[in-house]
Parts: sequence; C-alpha cells; structure tokens
Amino acid sequence: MPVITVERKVMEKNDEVAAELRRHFESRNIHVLNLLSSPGSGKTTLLERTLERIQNTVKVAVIEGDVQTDNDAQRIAEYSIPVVQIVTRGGCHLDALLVRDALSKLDHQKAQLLFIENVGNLVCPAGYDLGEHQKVVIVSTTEGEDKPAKYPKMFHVADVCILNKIDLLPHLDFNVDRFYNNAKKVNPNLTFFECSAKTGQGLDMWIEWLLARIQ
Amino acid sequence: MHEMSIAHDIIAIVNETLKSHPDSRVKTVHLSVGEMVAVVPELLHHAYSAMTSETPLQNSALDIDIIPITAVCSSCQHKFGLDEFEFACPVCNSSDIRILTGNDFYIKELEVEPCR
Repeated sequence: MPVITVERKVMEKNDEVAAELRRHFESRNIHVLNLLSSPGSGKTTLLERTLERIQNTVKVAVIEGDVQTDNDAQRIAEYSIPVVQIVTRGGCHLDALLVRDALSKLDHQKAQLLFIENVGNLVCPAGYDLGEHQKVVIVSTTEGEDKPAKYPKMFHVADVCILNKIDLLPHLDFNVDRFYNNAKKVNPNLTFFECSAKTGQGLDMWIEWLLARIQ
Repeated sequence: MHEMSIAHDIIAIVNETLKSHPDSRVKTVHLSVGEMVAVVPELLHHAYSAMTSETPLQNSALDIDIIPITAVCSSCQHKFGLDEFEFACPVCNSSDIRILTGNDFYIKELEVEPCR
C-alpha cells in the first residue's frame, strides 16, 4: 500500500503559538507562571494571599481557567487587578491558543507578573506549553503523599512544587518526607515550598522566590 | 481526557497532508507516541474513531507505536530504560540524567489507497 511520509509533531500548533507567546512575554518583560493542581488544592486561595502581599509592589495580571463558571475571576477581580476568565466548557486543560485569545482581552501590557491558573487537573494540563517561564504545581496535604507517583508527568514537567494546607498536618497521616521523596524521584530538580494559604504560614519564602523572578 | 483535542490535531494534520494528495484515501495513520507523553492509546483510538465517523476519514484507523523512555546518566554514561518514572541512574544513583527517547509525539506516515 502506498505511503505518504508526514513526520509532523501532533502538538505543533500549540508549540508554535506557545513560542509566539514566549516571545511576546520576553519582549515586554512579563514573567509568567502556569499554576497547576487537582481541583480543591487551594490554588485560587494561594493566589489571593499572594496578590495581597505583592500587589502594591508588583503589577500583576491573571488568567483564570475553569471548565465552567467565572467564580474564580470574580474572586480575583476583588483585588482590582486585570483578570480574564477562560471557560473551557468541558475542556480539561488550557492550551496556548486559548491563552492567546484570553490575552487579547486582558490589559496586561504593563504587567510584570502574569499568573495563568490552569484547569484543576493533574493529567492533561501537563502536556500543554503555554509559553510560561515556570510551571508551579500545588498539592494539598489532604490529597495524599503519593500524588507524584500517581501523576508523574505533572511533577516531572513542573519547576516548582508548593505543598499547601500544612496547617492540617496534625490531623492527617500525610508523611511530608515521603511526599518529597516521591516528588524527587520523578523530578530531582523541583524547587519546594510549603505553606498554608489559609493561615499564611510559610508564604514568605514563596513570595521571596516570586519577587526574585521579576527584574 | 485530552485525547479528544489530540485527535482533533491529528485529523487537522492528516487533512492538510491530503490536500496535496487528492487521489488518496487514508487507511492507517502511523503515530509515534513517547511514554512521557501520557496519552492513553485506547482513548485516542476511541476519540479518533468518534471524530472521523461520517467524514472522508471514517474508514481509517490509528496505528500507535509506543516509544519507551530511555535515558543516559551524565555521571557514569550508563544508558538505561525507565520502567517507572524514576529519574535516577540505576548504576550510580545520580539524578543528573538526560532523556534520550520517550518525549516525541508525531505522525510518521499515512498508509493510503487510491480513491479514484
């Protein structure tokens, strides 16, 4: 049977647009973080506590991704910073094309820091480059210490891992050392932070890291 | 379940390729999928078949070649396969390793037959 050689990357369109976004961010000196986690890890709360601490010193913009509702964008809008909501209507991840569309509706030209809060899901978002500088995966102590072993790809592609809800540790069987070992097995280069977005415990180190990203 | 959007991208590339081969009908789309890509072959087959039904591609199917993850240790140069996602050298235990295969995800070729 005749054969037509193709040799094309399946994700080429996403990768092309992600590269275009990266050039856009570089040219405007915008540092971009892609926030990833399972639903309910406290991503939006962590973002709120972060905004409270940096919004007077840093110009921030936010893209919120959710399957339905603009609840998260409404929460972020309380901080009077530019925010746009992507509703994927069933889509399990953000891709670079969705982010490009969202940016056209977002007043981000003066931003120094852009947070992209991805759809809550530890599988699909791992495969999509959004042109970000770092991927930050957030895990909460209620999820169990074996998350990195169960979702290795996500932890492998992440640059930063934040362990959230550490205020609950006394009530849980979560073994922090075992969690770190599991995560380091799939990605020895991860940078770790641990905090409670609710009580504010541990946030200083994360904020310090964040501010150091902005020139 | 990002297999739907992946199937969508595959179909777009196949249709684009067929533009320069108007006399061909696709029988098989040969894919190379690295194990790092985290695609579930069964789901991708289902998604492709659902999305091509009642289209010119409806009698075509995917052939998925899984490429295992292999790496080389930067410290002792040992080459090895990763059965689990454990990124350390099994010989010297160094975590300074470089992935050789398993990241790629591409359409290799189309098997076609004449349609006129």
